[in-house]
Amino acid sequence: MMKLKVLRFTLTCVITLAAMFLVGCAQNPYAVEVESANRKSPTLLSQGTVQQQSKSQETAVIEKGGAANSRGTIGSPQSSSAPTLKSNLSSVFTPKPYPTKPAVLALMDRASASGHRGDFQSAEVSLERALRINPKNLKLYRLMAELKIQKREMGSAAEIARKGLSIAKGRAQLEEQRRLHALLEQMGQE
Amino acid sequence: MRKALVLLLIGAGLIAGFLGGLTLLWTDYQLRLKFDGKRWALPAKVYSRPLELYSGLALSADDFEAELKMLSYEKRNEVLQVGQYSRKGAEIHLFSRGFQFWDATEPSIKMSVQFHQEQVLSVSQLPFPGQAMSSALDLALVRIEPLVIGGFYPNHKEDRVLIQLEQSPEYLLDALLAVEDRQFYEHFGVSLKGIARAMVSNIKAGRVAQGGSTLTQQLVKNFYLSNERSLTRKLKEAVMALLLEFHYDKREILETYLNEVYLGQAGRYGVHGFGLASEYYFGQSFEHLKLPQVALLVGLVKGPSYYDPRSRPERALKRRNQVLHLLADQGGISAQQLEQSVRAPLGIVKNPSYFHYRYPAYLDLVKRQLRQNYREEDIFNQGLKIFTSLNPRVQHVVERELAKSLAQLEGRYGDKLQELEAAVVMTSPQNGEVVAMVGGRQVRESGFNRALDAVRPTGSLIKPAIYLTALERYSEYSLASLVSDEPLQVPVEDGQFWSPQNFDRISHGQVTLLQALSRSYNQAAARLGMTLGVADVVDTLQRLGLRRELSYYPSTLLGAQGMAPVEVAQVYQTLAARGFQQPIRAIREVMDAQGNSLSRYPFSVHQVIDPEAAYFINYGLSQVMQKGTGKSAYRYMPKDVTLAGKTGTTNDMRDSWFVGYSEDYLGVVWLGRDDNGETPLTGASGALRVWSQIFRNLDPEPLDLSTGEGVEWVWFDPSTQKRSGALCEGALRFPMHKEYMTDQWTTCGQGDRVINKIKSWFN
Repeated sequence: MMKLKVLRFTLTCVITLAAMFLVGCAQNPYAVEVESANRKSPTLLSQGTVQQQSKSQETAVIEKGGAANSRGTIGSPQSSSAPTLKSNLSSVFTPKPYPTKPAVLALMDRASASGHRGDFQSAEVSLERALRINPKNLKLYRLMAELKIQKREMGSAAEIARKGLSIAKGRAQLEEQRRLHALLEQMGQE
Repeated sequence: MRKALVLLLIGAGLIAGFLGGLTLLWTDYQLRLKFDGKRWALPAKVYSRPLELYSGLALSADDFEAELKMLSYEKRNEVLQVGQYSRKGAEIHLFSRGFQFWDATEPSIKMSVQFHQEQVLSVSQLPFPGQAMSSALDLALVRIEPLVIGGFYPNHKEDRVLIQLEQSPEYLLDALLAVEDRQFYEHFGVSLKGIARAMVSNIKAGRVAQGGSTLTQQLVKNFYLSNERSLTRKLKEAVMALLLEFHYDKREILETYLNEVYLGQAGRYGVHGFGLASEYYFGQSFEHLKLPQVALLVGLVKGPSYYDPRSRPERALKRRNQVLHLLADQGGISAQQLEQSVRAPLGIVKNPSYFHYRYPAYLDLVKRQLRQNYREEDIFNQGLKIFTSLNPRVQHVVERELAKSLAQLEGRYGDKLQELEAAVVMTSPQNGEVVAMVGGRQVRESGFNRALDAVRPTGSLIKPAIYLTALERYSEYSLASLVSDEPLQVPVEDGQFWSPQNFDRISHGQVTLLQALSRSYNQAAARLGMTLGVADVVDTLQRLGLRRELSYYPSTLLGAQGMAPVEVAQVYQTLAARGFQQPIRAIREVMDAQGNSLSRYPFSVHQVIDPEAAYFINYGLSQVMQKGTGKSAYRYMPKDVTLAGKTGTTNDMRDSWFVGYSEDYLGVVWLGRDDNGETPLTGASGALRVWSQIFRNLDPEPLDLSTGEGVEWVWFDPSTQKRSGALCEGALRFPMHKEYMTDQWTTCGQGDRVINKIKSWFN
């Protein structure tokens, strides 16, 4: 009985490892999802379709990124945030975007509108309100840090970016995490 | 000869005139000084936080309704006008009043708010009466107006609800003038007609029964003069009234009158002004008063104690109806209104709500924070609006649960708890805002604010600073490091020794830092602290935000030196915010009377502790709650709500402390006696109980203890200080710093690592 269990376990391990290896993302942090995804699609030959899917998703991501750029930044032309293309496969498994409450979205919109008008104070108030509603939304920290940069408060911007990064890492917010790191790098703080 | 006499007379006349003029000028000067003081005493108004309504907000329909009541919204079956609400089960309709905030003006909106299981499900706009709107419109976010929680005045120590003329409810001015001074807009401060009328009736009565005082004269009387009824006083009063009318216009005089007039007595304090009186008698703000209420207040002017509606309701009712009739006679109201109002009950609230919504401890904090940034005269400048972060809901929970749990404690300990006092500070860890504060058991009374001023020994509350100091030295310490909990003798002055005892008088031998922290072992903490150096521990406290200077005595390590509850809150706030320090603050924004933002207290953070060290200490403090001295909190709360906290008890149980936090709230509770006498309470049996009752009612969000990049959970054998395997003897799981972890393994852990792991899977 025991032996059978061990055997089954080893077999599962081997298959899993092999599958991961074949897919070429043994390092992928979403390894578990790969496995389950593979179970759903019977053969690995359907990779072509996977790729197609990924392409269409990629554009969706870019569009989202673009949209976020037009309204989601606080009037900061220097922080270009074109999403970098990742490997096709990892983008298939791009986690669901971080769910943002409509209230927070509304305040982000308001903040960026104020920011574009040059009314940094109102922008800051809106972001603070949003942070009270959701203190775990990394994008809010990024926007706040960008705002502080606009106001030439570099020290404060860096601290806020770091505070954002200290917040629990969820996969959903990896992109924002990356942007916060980029921001710190730009400021020469990392 | 005659010439000399004439000259003498002229001279005397001149001197008399000169002296008279001088007196007049002096009176005039005094008068203006006083009046300007009062008039410009447009108070700095202090507001609570505004309630932000949005889908997903954790708020029950009951709590929302309570908030609306506080804001004196009127409950109706159907909502027709601004300032009304209705409730049908889990749906509340509301016609908000709108409010000018510092960043934007929130419009008045008719809305429907749906609730589901203690949460706001949706907020949607409803059509106004007469407004064309096809369907309900979803609203992302609505800000309800904030509650006025007090005001600051230049010449008064007490809070007063000052009002402006424009805020007057309907009929108030009509009724007041009809009853007290019909010629107000015609006379020059003194009404000859009025005096004549008064004289006639006085002669008829054979004594001084009626004063023909105008409002202006009444105001002057209120300002300066005693209550004696003499002719000279009358004369002085008249002169001053004339002067007042000469310098100021009717509006200014009337407004000042509304704020000055004496309308009752609340214990030691006089109830001055219609603003305060509305709160005192009706629990409503002045501008929302209805006709019968207005009539009652106007009637009270004549004799607030004689017509006291609380002790003399029948007299008060008669007087009110008298005023109503007078108003109807003059055509101010219709016969129908008269009939309706006369039938209305007095509607006096049992507990004056003004005193209900009075938060002296919190206002005290606001005042002090203002003083840090403003000069006195600026604070009391006209009409500042001060927006604070006070959350009335949390404040009420704190007040209620404090009273409740102290009553329970008294039931248990009886007389031993005599004169027990208390202080509570509540903050929001994510931004350092103070959301509630209590400065003593008599929560409505100002006076000694223990939350800010009771500097008391903190006992074990200080220990996390010791452990944090150690845990920041990644290469030397981890939570699994061993420290000896055995008696120690530290030489202090004069050949004396400091040798602290454990609370249970038992020494526990070699223990891990985690055990020592969670069980609050004194000897281990003292030994570790001495090894690290008292100066370093004090430095850690100061990095965490303590401004107070502490002496570097060994006993400092066990909290022998005092801190105020608010300082404790600041120190722990930094831990709860994972190493980011933010000055704790009560003020969000200050706005001048014209609506310009004067100063912001912006969001700023300062990282003072590494994320890794902050994680270790937070984990340690969560174990205090799970397994250590704080575990009785879980008698009140579900075990899966992660919390962190620390108890504190001082020598002979003179102080009972507890600090604890969730993701969304941090609370400091202190219990003790003002005379520093002994109590039967430890931190756990006293303050922790209060804290738990408060937190249970706040439904806290569990503390998020997910690890950052630098931390890894490993199996570790503390006795050998080596890494180990899951099933190995003595192996425990600890969070460790990835870069400083030992790579030494126990034989059990190393040799059979893989097998052990597999074993564990199949068990």
